[in-house]
Amino acid sequence: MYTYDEFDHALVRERTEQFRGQVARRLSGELTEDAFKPLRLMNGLYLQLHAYMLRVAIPYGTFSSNQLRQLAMIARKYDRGYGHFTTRQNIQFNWPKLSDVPDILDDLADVEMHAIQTSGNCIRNVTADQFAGVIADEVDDSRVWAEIVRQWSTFHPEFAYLPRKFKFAFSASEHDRAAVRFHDIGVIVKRNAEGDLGFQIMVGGGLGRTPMIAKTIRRFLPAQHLLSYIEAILRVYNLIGRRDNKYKARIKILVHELGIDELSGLVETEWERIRESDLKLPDTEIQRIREQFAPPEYEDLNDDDPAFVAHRFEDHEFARWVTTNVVAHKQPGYSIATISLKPEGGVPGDVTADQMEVLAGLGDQYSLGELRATHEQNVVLPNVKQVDLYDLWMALKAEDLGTANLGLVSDIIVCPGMDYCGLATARSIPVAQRISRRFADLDRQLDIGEMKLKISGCINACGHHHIGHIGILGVDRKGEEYYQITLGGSAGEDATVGSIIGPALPSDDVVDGFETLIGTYLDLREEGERFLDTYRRVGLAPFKAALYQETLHAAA
Amino acid sequence: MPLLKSGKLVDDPWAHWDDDQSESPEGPVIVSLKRWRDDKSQLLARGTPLGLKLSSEQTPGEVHEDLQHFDVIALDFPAFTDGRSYSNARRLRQRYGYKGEVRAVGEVLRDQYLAFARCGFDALEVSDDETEEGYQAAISAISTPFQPGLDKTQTAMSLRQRRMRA
Amino acid sequence: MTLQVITANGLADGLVVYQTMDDSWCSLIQDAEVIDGDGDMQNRLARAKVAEDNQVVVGVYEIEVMEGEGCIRPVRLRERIRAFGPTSHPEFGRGAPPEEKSATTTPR
Repeated sequence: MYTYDEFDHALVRERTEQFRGQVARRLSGELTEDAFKPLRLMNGLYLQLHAYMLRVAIPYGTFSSNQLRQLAMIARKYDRGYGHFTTRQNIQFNWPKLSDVPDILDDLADVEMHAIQTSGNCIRNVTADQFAGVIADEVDDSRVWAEIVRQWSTFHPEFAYLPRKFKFAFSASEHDRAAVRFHDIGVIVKRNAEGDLGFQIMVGGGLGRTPMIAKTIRRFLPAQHLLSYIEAILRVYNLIGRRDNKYKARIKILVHELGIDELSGLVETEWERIRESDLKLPDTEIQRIREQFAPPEYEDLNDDDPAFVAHRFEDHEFARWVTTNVVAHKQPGYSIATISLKPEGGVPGDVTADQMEVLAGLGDQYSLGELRATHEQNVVLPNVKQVDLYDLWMALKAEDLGTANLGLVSDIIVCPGMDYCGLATARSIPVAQRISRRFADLDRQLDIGEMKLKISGCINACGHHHIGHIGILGVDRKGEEYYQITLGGSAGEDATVGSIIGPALPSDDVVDGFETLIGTYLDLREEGERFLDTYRRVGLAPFKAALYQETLHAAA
Repeated sequence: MPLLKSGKLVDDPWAHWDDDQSESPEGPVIVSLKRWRDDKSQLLARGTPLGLKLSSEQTPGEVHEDLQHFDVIALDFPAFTDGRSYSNARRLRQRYGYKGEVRAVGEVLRDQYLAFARCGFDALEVSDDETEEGYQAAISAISTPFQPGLDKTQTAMSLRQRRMRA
Repeated sequence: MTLQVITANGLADGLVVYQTMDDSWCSLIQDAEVIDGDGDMQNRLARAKVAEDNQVVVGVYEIEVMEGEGCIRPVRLRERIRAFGPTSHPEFGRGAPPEEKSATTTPR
């Protein structure tokens, strides 16, 4: 993974000092809240319902055991002993004191971490495929390019006060595990017919109040032009993105209102002027970054290690976890293990300081010291030898980290909702917990099969409900919590925005309603169909009929 | 208002001739794009240096053929959170090669001085209590930038490239 | 008769606070001053803004409450969560009265 040199170290130290000064000026009154708020947001510090919240960046989701140990220390020393993994591969702390944040940033800088630009109307954390570098189906390690963009975007002086936040995501595979089509700029790393490396650039994806799928602005951009091209896009957006209405200020609205062709013309005109500037990437720089992501020293092993195979045969529970949570590594004899942070009835994405320490130890012992955060709020150990999987799983189980539910009903993606967030209109976590408990039986979950359930506590959609196979959106009806259900969303290369099924359900009915929808799928499905497949075949009508008929009967 | 010009607090030789003032101030004046368009020949006939103020909704492209008439271009920040003028400053310098003074006016606060410098601003209309020390502290907050800018600081990439060649 | 209290967050620690009768700030809503009537509210808000201007608190605003069984509860669920703690993490609860505990305990 990327290791800081003296320039990177200086950057985070200087930023910490700068923020320390800003906090002091705020506490003394020299800075008003109005002047301070954008500054603290640009350092990832929100003020929420109960306390401040600090969002720590995990660039493209890659972090080390050492970093995780430091996060555990920070959770204990400054917070309430836990952290929360987000839907953008970051981790957040819910209870820091403003007066402690400069010290927290110093402690983060000690392990090459920071909270720079994890909020605010600027370029946010660059996310990427959580399996980058270790999965066979990728064209290149997308983190090389994500890191290049990350550095370019850090304290970019021209783009600190954009119309709104700006999010990048990278993928290098036909299988889009990074939801690139739902980002402001989504980048797919690919090769052209000549075998040259370059990018498909997509623009204007997003969720929130107006979910939209990104449109391709450039089919193939040669690699050395990455920064100049995206700078051209950002400059055009900065100048003509709407600033009159916060809910119409993302670039997706600009794409929608101008049309992709006109926007593309403006970008190309700008790009022409800057294409040959210092933004052009020299091969030596690309190489320097690429070397930072060189594969580790793998051992020369074979697939289907006999001990692993035997355990799988003998231990049904282990076999089940391998089926759901483990995928093949591109290196023979290795595997990629996803650790579920969704235990039965738990708060999805939460991890205690104790669990962080155990995970860090397991990362050292079994994953060459490296871990990944996923946008589905789980953690990956990307370099596990097959022969070690059984011991790993036993250790995970002991910490309530061994739930074999990846991609199943209880692997729920959920925002903090009204339990924490000042923007929320309803609670979301309790709904996730209730559904998780209702469907606790893993055999039942396996029978249901792949189900991406995503829950948001308000229309800002931080729980990504629009792109859930089933999405649940919490709304406020005369002070009561109601839940609107959408069906058929998908985050991947088959990008789809879900359709609203009908009127929102009262809180008391939402779990039953969800169960009815699952039951309808089970009744209608054909051989080999996931929920999403059945829905795409039969449409909304049978689900709607089942859901509201049931409700009518219940009320009668 | 005090003027910070290349880091020094100086007397500002320029006066803003606002649209709602019928009488022009003496000496060098900065006018709006509207006044320039309405009264171009009279303004040129004044014989004094001229400056142009652009709102954050206007772009240098609208007046790029006339830039040679202006010794100063003032770019407005109606709120410090309106970041359009950063891009306008970049365009002025890079696309149109403007060599005169580029000045930030409006809500010009210390925590944005570094961004101004790196986007090509060389003058700032600041609040009464601002100091040169405050300016220096603000612009030296981050020593090595990670993207090309218009001040003279070497980027991390160029320093690393140089080191690799050595 | 609308009953209200004034709330904010502590500037340095971010924690939820309520204004008390003597212009101080407390963390439990039960200790807050209940204001009854617009005239008093304007006056009390003005005192609260002083605390904001002096970097004691941030984000002052008023909320509606109801009084019953000798305890104060905000009317809005959002404010009840602020007052009594996140329902997702009951270990961080603060002084929730019995009615609150049953109201926000989620059904299965």
